[in-house]
Amino acid sequence: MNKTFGDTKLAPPAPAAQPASNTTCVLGPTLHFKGELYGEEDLEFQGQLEGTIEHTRSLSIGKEGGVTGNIRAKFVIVEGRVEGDIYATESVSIRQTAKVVGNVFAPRVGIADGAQFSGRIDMNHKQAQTARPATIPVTLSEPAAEKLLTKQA
Amino acid sequence: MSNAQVTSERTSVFGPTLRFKGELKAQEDIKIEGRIEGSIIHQQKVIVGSKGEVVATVQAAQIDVDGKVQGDMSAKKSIKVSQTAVVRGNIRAPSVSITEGANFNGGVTMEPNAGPASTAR
Repeated sequence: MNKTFGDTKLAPPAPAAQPASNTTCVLGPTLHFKGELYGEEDLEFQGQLEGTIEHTRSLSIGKEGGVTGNIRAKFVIVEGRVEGDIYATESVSIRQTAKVVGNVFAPRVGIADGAQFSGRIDMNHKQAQTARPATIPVTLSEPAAEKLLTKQA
Repeated sequence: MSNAQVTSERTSVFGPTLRFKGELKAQEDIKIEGRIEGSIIHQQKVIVGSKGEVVATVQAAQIDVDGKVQGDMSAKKSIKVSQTAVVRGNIRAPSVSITEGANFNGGVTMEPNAGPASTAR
C-alpha cells in the first residue's frame, strides 16, 4: 500500500547498504569468465568477464571487477572497468572509481565526479525496455521447436 | 574430518538463478548453485551445491558434488560425491569418495598424481 511512498526518486540501493543475506551473490576477484552470463538475482561482480551479461535485477561491477562486453540489467552500478555498452531498464550509476569505455542506454544515468567515461549516453533508448521480455519467448520456444522437429522427423 | 562446512572467508557463491555458458577460471573457493555449461578450470575448491547444475569438464584442487554434474572431473587432491549428487562422467583424483545414495555413472581413476583431465580414450 505504501509502495509509492518516496521510493520513486531514490537511487537504486547500493549493495553495501543491504544486509549480508543470501540474496546478493558475490563473485570474487580471481574469477575469470569467458562467455555468456545470465542472472536473476542481485549480483556483485568482482571478477573478470569477457563476453556478455544479461541480468534482470541489480548488477554491480565492483572495484576489482572488469567486463569486456555488453551488459544488460535493471540497475547497473559500475565501480570497476567496463569496455562495452551498458543497457539498463532502470538506471546506470557510474561511480568515482569506474573506468567506462562504451555507450550507456538507460532512462536514468549518473556519473560521479572522478569517474572516467568515454562514450555516448542515450536516455530515450527503447531497446533497453524491450530487451527484457525478449528473453522469455526464447526460453519457451526451444522445447517447442524441439517438439516440432521430433514430430516431423 | 567431518563434513561440517568450513565457511572460509573467500567463497564466492554462484547463485541459483545464474546461468553461465563458456569458460570459467578461478583461484578461490567457489560454490556453484546455478548452471554452468562449458569448462571450469580452477586452482582451489569447487563445490557444486545441491541446486547446482554443471555441464562441463571440471578441473580443480578439490571438488565436492552435492548437485548435478555432467562431464569429466579431475582434481589434484580429492573428489567427494555426496548423497544428493547426480554425476554422469569420469572422475580422476588421488582420493575419491562416493556416498551411498549418490547417483553416479562413469569411470573412476585414482592416481597419486592426477594431471589435467586427458580426454584420450
